[in-house]
Amino acid sequence: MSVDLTEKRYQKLVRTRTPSDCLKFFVGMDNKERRRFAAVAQTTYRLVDAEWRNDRGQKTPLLGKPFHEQVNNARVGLVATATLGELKKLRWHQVPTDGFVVDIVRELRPPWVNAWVQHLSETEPFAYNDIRQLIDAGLCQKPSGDAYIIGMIEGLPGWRGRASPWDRDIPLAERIRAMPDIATEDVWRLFDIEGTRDASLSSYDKYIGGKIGHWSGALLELSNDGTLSRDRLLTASLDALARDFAQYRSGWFSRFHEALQPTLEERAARADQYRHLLGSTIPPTVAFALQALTKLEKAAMFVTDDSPQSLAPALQARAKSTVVAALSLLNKTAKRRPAQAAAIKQLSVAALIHERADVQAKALDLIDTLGGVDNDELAASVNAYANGIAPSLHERFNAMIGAEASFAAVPDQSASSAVPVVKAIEPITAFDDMHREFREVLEEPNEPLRVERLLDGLARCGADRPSDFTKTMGPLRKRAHAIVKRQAGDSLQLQLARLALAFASDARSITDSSHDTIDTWLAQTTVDQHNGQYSFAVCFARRSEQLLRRVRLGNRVGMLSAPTDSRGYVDAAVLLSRYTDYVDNGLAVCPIDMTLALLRLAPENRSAMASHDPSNDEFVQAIAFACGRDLPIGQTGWLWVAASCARTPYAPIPAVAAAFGMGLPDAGEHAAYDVRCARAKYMSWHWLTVTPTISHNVPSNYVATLFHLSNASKHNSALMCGFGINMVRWCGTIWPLQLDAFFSHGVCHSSPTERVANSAIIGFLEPLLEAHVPVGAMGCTLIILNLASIDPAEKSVALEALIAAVDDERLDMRSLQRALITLFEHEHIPLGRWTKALTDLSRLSTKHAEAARELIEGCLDHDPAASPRGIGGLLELLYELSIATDTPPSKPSALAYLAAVTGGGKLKKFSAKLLALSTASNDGP
Amino acid sequence: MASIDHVYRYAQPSTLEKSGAAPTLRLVAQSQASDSQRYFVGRLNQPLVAALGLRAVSNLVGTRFYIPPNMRARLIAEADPVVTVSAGRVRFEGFSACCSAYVRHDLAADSFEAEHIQPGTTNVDFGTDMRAALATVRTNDALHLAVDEQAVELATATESVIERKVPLPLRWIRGFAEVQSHLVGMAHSTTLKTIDAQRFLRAVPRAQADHEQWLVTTGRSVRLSPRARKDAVMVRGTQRLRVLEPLVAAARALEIWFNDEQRSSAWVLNFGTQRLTLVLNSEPWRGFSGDGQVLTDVTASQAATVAAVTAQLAWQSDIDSNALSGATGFDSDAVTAALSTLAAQGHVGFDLATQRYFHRVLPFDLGLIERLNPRLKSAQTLHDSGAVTLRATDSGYSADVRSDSVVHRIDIDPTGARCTCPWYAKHQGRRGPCKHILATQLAIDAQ
Repeated sequence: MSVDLTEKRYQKLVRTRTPSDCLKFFVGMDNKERRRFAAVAQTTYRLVDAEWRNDRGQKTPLLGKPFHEQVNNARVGLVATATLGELKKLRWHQVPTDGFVVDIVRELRPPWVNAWVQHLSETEPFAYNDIRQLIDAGLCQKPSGDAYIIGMIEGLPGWRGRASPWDRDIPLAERIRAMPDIATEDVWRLFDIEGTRDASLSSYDKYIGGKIGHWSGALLELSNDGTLSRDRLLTASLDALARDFAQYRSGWFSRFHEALQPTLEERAARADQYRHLLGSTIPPTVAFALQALTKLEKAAMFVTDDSPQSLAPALQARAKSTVVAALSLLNKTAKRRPAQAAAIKQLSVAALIHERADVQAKALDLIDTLGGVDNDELAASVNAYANGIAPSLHERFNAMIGAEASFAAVPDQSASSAVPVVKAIEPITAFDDMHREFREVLEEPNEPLRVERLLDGLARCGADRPSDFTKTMGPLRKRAHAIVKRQAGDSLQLQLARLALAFASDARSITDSSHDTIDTWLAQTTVDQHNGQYSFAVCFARRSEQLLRRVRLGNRVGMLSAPTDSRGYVDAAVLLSRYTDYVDNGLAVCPIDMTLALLRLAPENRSAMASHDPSNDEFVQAIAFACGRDLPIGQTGWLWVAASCARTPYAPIPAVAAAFGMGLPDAGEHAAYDVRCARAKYMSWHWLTVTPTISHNVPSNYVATLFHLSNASKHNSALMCGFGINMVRWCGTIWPLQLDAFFSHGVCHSSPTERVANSAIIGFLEPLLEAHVPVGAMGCTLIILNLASIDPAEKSVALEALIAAVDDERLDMRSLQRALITLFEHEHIPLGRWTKALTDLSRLSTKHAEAARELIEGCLDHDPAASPRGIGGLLELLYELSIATDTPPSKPSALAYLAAVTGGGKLKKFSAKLLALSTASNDGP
Repeated sequence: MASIDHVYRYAQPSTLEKSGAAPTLRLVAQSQASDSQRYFVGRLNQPLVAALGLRAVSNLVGTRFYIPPNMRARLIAEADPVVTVSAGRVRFEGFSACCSAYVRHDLAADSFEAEHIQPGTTNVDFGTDMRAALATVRTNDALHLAVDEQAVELATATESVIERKVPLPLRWIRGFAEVQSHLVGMAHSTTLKTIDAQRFLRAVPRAQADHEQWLVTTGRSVRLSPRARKDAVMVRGTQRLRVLEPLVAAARALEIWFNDEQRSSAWVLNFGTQRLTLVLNSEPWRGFSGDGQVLTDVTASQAATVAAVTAQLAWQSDIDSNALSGATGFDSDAVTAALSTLAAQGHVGFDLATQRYFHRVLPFDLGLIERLNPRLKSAQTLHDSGAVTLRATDSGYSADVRSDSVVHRIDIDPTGARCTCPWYAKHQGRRGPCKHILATQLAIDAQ
C-alpha cells in the first residue's frame, strides 16, 4: 500500500471513527512500518489539534466526529508510532484519554513500555491511574523510585488523574484492599518518603482528604480490620519521624501515630525510638517524643537508658513547654535513680539557655532539688549562662554559685548610636561620569539621593554630547528599552528607564511605537501610567521631562531641587545661586522643581537668606519667606504653599491658608493625624484620619498635600508613592524637614499580619534610622505597627529604628505610648509580638531597658478589665525591667491599674509583684 | 537549567551496623569501574559530633532554601555528599539543592584512629535512612567509620546494587569550584563562645528572612541589624543558619568569616578536632556557580605552572605553597595563581582554618566546569565571531565588543576591567567578569 493512500485512509479514520478503529489501523504493522508512519501521525495530530483550538466554541465540525474525539483519535497514532525519545517529549494532554493507553500497549506490545512508564511516574503527576492500569493488566513493571509513590498519594484516592478506574465514591480503604500489592508494598513506602510541596500525606489530608477520604483514616481502618499490621504502622510512623522530613510534612506521621492510640505497652516497646526522636531537628517531633515518654513515666513504665543524655536536645528546645516537660522528666528520673542525680544536675544546666525567666527558674529549681551547686565544675557550667539570666533571678543565681556571677556589664547605650554626619554632595560635572552613573543607577535605583545627583548631573552635562553619542549610548538605550518594554517592577526604575531612553535616542521616538515620543510622554505625565491616577511618580516624570527639554536645547544648568547634603536638604544660598543661573540664562524653571527645592530647604543658614534683598522675583521672595523673612504673600499659590511648608512645618501660617489653602492639610494649615482601630466579627483593622479633610481636588503642585490624598475619595492612596520600595524611598526625600506626612502614608499601608516579598513598607521605615530625623507621632505609630509585623524584614527595620531613636534621644515617648495603647485594640496583632520586640530592645543597654520600661509603664492607664489578651506577658517584662533598672513603677496611673487588676493568671501574678516592688521602694531600705 | 544525568552506583546502601561491641558507620562509596576501593577504616573519637556533622551535611544537601516563583515543586533528587580521604583529614562536602549554601565537615587526624587510609575522593550513599540512623548515635557510643565500595564480598548479588540517576545541575558542580574563590578571599570577623553562639542562633528568625542584615556586637550580645555597617558581616537568608542550630551546643566556638568583596560569609563550628563550615552566598537565590570569579582563573594562561603544580599534587590535606614553589621552581605568586586555577577546575579545595589548599579531585566530569560555563561559552562565541576590536592604550587595553545590536566599551588597566553592559553596571565585577570582558581577555591572550 502506498503511503499516500494509507495517509488518506488514516486521516479519514481519525476524522470519522473511534480510537479503537485507529488502533486497529496500526495493529498489523511491525515497528519499522509504524515508525515510517510517524510523520503522518504527527502531522495529522497537529492538523486536528489546530482545528480544535481554532474552533473552540464549535463542538462539532461540519464533517466527522466532534473535534475533541478527532484529537483523541489522533493521539492514538501519535503514541503508537513514537519512539521512546519522542514519547518523553510528549505532554500528558497529548496521550489518549479514557485509559486507552492500556489498549495501545496491549495490542502493540512496544519495547519501550517499561522505560516510558518509569519516565511518566517521574515527570507526570497525573499519570498514576494509567500506570496503575498497565501494572494491573500485567503490561509493565511497577516503576521504581519515590515519584511513583508520591503519585499514589493523590492518584489512588482518585483525586488526580483523568482516567481513574475507580469511582471516587469508593472509599480509599476499599481500593487498597482490592489491590493486594498496595497493601503489602506501596503503603509501607509512604513512610519512607517525604513527598513534595505539591503532594504529601500532610497536604492531601489537610486540603483534599475531607472531600474523598483521608489517608490516615483509611490506614486506621485497614489496621483495625487486620489488613495492615498495627505493630508495623506504629513502628513505621516513628521511623518516618526519625528521617527529619520538613516540619509540615513530618506532622502527619506524629498525628497518625497518636491516632493509632498506642497502649502503654506498645509505647514502652518503642521507648528507644521515642528517645532517639528527642534528637530530631524538628521541634514538634521532639515535643511529641517527650509527651510519649512523659506518659510512660507517669505510668512508671519509662526506664531511661544508661544515660539521661538523650534528653539534652529537648532541654535546649525553643518551646517552653518542651523544656519544662524535659526538666520534669529528669526530676522524676533522678528521684527513681538517685545514682544519676549528679549527671542529671549537670545536664539540666543546659536549660538555662532558655530566654524565659520561668523556665530558667525551673532549671534552677531542679539543680537545687538535686543538691545545688556543689562543685567547681558545676559552678563554672552554671556561671557560663550568667549573661542571659533574668534580672529577677540574679540574687538567687548568685546565692547558688556562692559568688557574684559574671553578669555582663550593660552598656549605657547600644553600638548603633551614631553622631549625625552631614556630608556635602558633590555634583557630577563630566559627561562620562554621568553616563557611568546612569548605567549603574538604572540597575539599582535604591539610593534616592544618588538618583537626584544623577538627574542634576544630566541637567549639567547632558548637553556635552560626545561625537560618537549614538554608539556610546547604545548599551544604555538597549537596557532602558528592555525595562520600558517590560513595564513591570519598580516605578522609579521605570521612570529612569524612560528618561534614559529619551535622552539616549537621537530620534524623537523613544520606543518601538511611533506614538511613544517625548511629546506623548509629556501628555501622559498628567497621570501615572501604572495606575491611571496622579502620583509622585508623575511629579518625578514631569520634572524629568522639563529637564530633558533643557538638555536638548543645549542648556547646562543644574536642578534647583538637587540635594546639597546627605540628609537630602538644599542649602538656601546654593538654591539662590542655582536660581540666578536660570535667570541669567533666561530659562524657565519647572514648577515641580521649584516646589521640591523649597520643601527641601535646609534648616541651617536661613538667617542670611532672610536678610537678603528679595528683589521683585516671586521665587526669590518665596525663598526669603521660607527662610523666615516676613513678606507679603505673592500671587502663585503653589509657590507660597511650599514656602510656608518650608518655613514652619509644624505651625500654621494663616495668611497662606486663607489665600491658597482651600482647607487642605499642609497648605498653610498643619495636618493633624488620628489613628484608630476597629473590630468586626472576623476582622480587625487600623485606619488613619487626617484633618483638615480633603473635600475636593488637590492642585498637582501642592506636593506636600498630595501625601494626604488617602483622605480623598475615589483615590487609591496605596499607589500614591508608586510601585516598589525605591519609589517610596524617593518619596521620603520630598519633604525631609517634616516626614510625618510621609510616615502617615506608611501607617496607612502597613499590614502587620501580611508577609510580602520586598515590602515597600521598609522604604517608609528607613528614614527613621537617620539620626537627624525626629520621631514624632506618625513615626512612632509606624514603628509600633511594624514591631508587630510577621514580616521579619519589616520587624527588624522597625526595631532598629526604635533602637536608634532611643540611642539618639529622638523618641517622643508619649507618642510611642499612645500608639501602643491605640494598637492594643487591633485584635489580629497578638500582644506577644510587642513583648518579644521590647524584650529584644531591652537587652541592648540600660538606656534601652529604661525606654522599654517607661513605654510599658506608660501604657498602663486604662481599665484592667478592658486589657487585651497577653498583657500579662508585658507585665512580666515590666517586672524584669523594673528590677534590672532598679526603677519600680511609680506613675499614679500605672499603680492604679495594677491595684485594680482582679482575677488570676499572669496578669494578677505580676501586678502583685510589681505593686510589691513599688511598695518596697517607697518603704525604703 | 542545564544538568547532567549523573549516575550514583552503590553496591549497597550505607548502614549503621550495630552488631559487635561498637557500631560501625559503613558509608558505601560510589562503585568505580576498576577494582573496589577501600578508602577509610577507623574509629571516631567524638562520634556524636561526627554524626551531627554528617546529618547537617546530608540535610543541607537535601534542602532547597529558595524556590523560584515559577518553579513547580517537584521531588528533589538528592545529590550525595562528596567525601575526600587523605592522611591528615576526612572531609565531607556538599551544596544545598539551590546551590546558595555550601557545607563541609572536616575530621582532622586527631579525631579518628585510622586502621586503613587510601587517599581519594568519592561520593557516598547518604539518604534519609542514614540520617535517621545517625540520630541514634550518642556521645558515649564508640563508633567505627568505614568508607568503602563494598563490592568484593558484600555486593556480589547484583540485585543489591543501587543505581540512582540524579539530574545534577551543572551549577551544582560548578559551585564546588566557585566556592573556593569565596573562601580564599575571606577574612576572620569574630568568634563567639558556645553559649553566645547558641543565643545568637536562637534569636535568628525561623521564618524566611531575605533582607540584608549585618552582624553587630552590641553591649553584651551579637545581633543582626538591618543597618549597613562598615566592616560588618552581611548576611541574607538567615534561615540557612538553622543548619547549625542542632550542632552548636556541642561546639567550642562559632567562627565567622566574611568575604567583603563578594559578600559571602562562612560560619565555622569548631569542635576541636572537627570543624563544620557553612558558606552562605550573599543572596539566597543566588547560586555560587553564577558568580564567575573563577572564570578569570580558567581563562588565565599559566599552563606551564599549572602543569608543574598538578604534578606535585598527591592528596595533601594541607598544600604548602612555599614547598610547591621550591619543588616546581616557580615563584610563590605563580604557584598561588596556579592553585587558584586548579581550584577553579575543581582539583583543590581551600581550608579556612589552615588558610591552605587541599588536594581533591571531584568525582564528576570536571571538563564540564569549563566547557559548559555559559558565560565562558558566550565569550568564546564573541571572540570567535570577531566581535572584539582591541586597542592597546597607555595603561592597558581598550576594546569595542559588538554584542547583539550594541557595542560595549571595555577598558582593562592595572586597576581592573570595566564594561558598559548592564551586568557590569549591576554587579561591578563582584560576580566575576562579564562575557564582554572575558571575550576581550581571550582576544588579549590570542595576541
